[in-house]
Amino acid sequence: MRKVLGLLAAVIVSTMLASGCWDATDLGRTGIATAISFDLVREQDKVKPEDKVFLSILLPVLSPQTQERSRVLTAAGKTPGETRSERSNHAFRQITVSDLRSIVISEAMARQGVKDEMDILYRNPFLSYHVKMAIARGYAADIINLKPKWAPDIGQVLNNLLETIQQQNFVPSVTVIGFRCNLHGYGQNPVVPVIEEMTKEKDNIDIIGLAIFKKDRMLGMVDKEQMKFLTMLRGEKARGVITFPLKGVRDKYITLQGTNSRKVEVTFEDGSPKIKIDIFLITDIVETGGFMVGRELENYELVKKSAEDFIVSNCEGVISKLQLEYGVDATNAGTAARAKYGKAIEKQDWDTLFTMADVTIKANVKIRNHGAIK
Amino acid sequence: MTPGECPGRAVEEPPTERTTRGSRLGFIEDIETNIALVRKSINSPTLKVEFFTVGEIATSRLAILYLNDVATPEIVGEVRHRLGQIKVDHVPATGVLENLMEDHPWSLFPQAYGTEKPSKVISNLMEGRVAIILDGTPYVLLVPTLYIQYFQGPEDYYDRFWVGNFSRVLRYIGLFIAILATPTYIALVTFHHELIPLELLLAVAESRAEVPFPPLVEALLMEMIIEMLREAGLRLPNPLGQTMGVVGGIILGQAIVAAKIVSPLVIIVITVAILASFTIPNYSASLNIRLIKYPLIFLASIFGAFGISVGIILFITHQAAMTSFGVPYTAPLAASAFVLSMIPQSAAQSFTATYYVSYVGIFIMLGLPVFLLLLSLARGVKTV
Repeated sequence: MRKVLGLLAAVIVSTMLASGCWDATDLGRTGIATAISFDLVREQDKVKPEDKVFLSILLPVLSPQTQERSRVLTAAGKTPGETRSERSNHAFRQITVSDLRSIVISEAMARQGVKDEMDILYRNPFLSYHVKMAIARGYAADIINLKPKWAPDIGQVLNNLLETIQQQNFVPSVTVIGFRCNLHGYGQNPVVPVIEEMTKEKDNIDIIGLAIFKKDRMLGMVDKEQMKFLTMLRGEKARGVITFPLKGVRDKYITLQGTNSRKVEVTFEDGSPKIKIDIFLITDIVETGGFMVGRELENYELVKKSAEDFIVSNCEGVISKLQLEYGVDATNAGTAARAKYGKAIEKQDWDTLFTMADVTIKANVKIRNHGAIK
Repeated sequence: MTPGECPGRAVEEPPTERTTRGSRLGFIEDIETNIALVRKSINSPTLKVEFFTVGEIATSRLAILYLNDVATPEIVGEVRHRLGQIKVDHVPATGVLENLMEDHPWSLFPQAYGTEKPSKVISNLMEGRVAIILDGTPYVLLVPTLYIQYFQGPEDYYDRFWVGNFSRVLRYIGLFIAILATPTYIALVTFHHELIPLELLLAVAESRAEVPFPPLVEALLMEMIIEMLREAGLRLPNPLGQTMGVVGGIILGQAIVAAKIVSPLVIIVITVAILASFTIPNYSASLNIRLIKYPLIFLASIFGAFGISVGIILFITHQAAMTSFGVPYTAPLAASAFVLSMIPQSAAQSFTATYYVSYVGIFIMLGLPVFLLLLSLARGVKTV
């Protein structure tokens, strides 16, 4: 009996130590953060003169008796960590991040570097792998404070937008964990979708481009159209639509919808890298504007060739922007170089190598169900 | 009128073991009739009936039935031996007999299969088991018992292969839901919010926001109400019992949610758990499953998913170490002929080795995957 009691006591003690039972919080008394924004603090939001960071947390209102469906908890501090103690003074509930879905960082803050903001997030082991990131043009808190009439709160709009966009318009869905991987990986630099409040629909948000980062610091951005081709160059698996002119046929545009993948090969010639990127696109025809693709095999080849040329020319435009304007490799081709040449290449700055690289792009478009008979 | 001429009731369908397509015959309180019901189907000289007398003051007749050429002599001998060891004033029911004969009297799990159906007794005799019939009770005990036996229904043998197996798998799923639904709810709303989809989480949080009690009290309150309703339903005459079920289930359920004493989700979870417990065909097993739930509820409220997994492992370990008349209780899941064949014959024959093999086999097959799964999911809640 003594042996059984001893065993039982050992099980209880080890379970207590291993389970982390002190972390228990009743769901009814918890503030569930669904979206968070970080800004450089404005003068009117400062509590103390030395405050630098402004934090906004979107919390769905859990009481069915109130009209408001969400509230925004704000706090200012010298560092993101200090905002935690500041907002605790008026939090009303214990805030959890285990259900956080998206993080918005203002462009101004992103241009200064987001190392501190990322640090506080990475250090939290309970942060989900699926938390999405976006850069807000303007003040990020303004996005969090939007109150759409057609959705329970802006958090859900933001979550759904950042989650589904990858399947709709060749936009990478960037997670906080993915951002960290890019931050510390050799030959990699993160990109993050840039969002803005829509001018026409005042209570909606729009993706306006892709922010280019050199490690944790934002350098600039590419617009909506270039964003598609940067996604293809990075090899971020996405689905989307491209509309391109048909070669040799005036005012005729074809629209294809499909999924992308890529293959990269890096070699060195006379000390400078040669990068070969093969982009693969498996597509369906969405629109031909009356052009009968299915009748002749030549028509199919024409559409295929037009699409491939369109992709190559746009990708070349993006590459030259990256090489000449930003001097940074946002295509993550450096990972292929690292894989091929091992640790020896890490002695050289890949971004510098990339700026002088000879980049060759090849597009391979496959059109499914085109109707032509070979 | 002599005691032998006492009037008895007619053979009828047992109320706790109703079937849609099976036999409707049921045992009654008279031992002679019950033996005749078995002998009617097994008209063979190998069917042996041995009579005993139990009870020192109020004696009762008892018979053991077995097939001479199928049942293991060691098991029959063990039954005889254990019956001979019973020294009590009176044996009022087979429950008392079961308690006096079983290998592990303090265990939660039933170790003798009780049934009122002759068809079940017959098929178990054919499998080499021993039936114990006590005069004055329609409940017949079958030994040795395996845990998986409690999930076999009479319909399994009347339906086609696929349907029968589907029903059996459904009962296993029912077992897990009956045991785990309420503890899992408590663990999710207390520790592991992130495992609930956000939309559902917000709805759950909203319903929990106005409930004054913690999830443990809320669930225990509802479980107790349901247990009381079930107990009251048993005691009341049939029409009143049904009314009680409707009044309790629907009106009380709605009122308790409207009064914000418990959240609507708790009602759903507990109702599903109770519904699942009714899929277990054996009454003793379903009672036992109801009891297993409570320690798991407490473990879940203190330790979350980790506590549930520890509780399950403890239960499985306990089960794996059990025997019924020398036969491993969890066979063929553990200590199967295959596993036993892999260890030396001398070791396999010893009980210690059987326990060990049972423990290891069950732990690897069920415990470890459940433990690892729950451990991987067990992430607590942290503040920003």
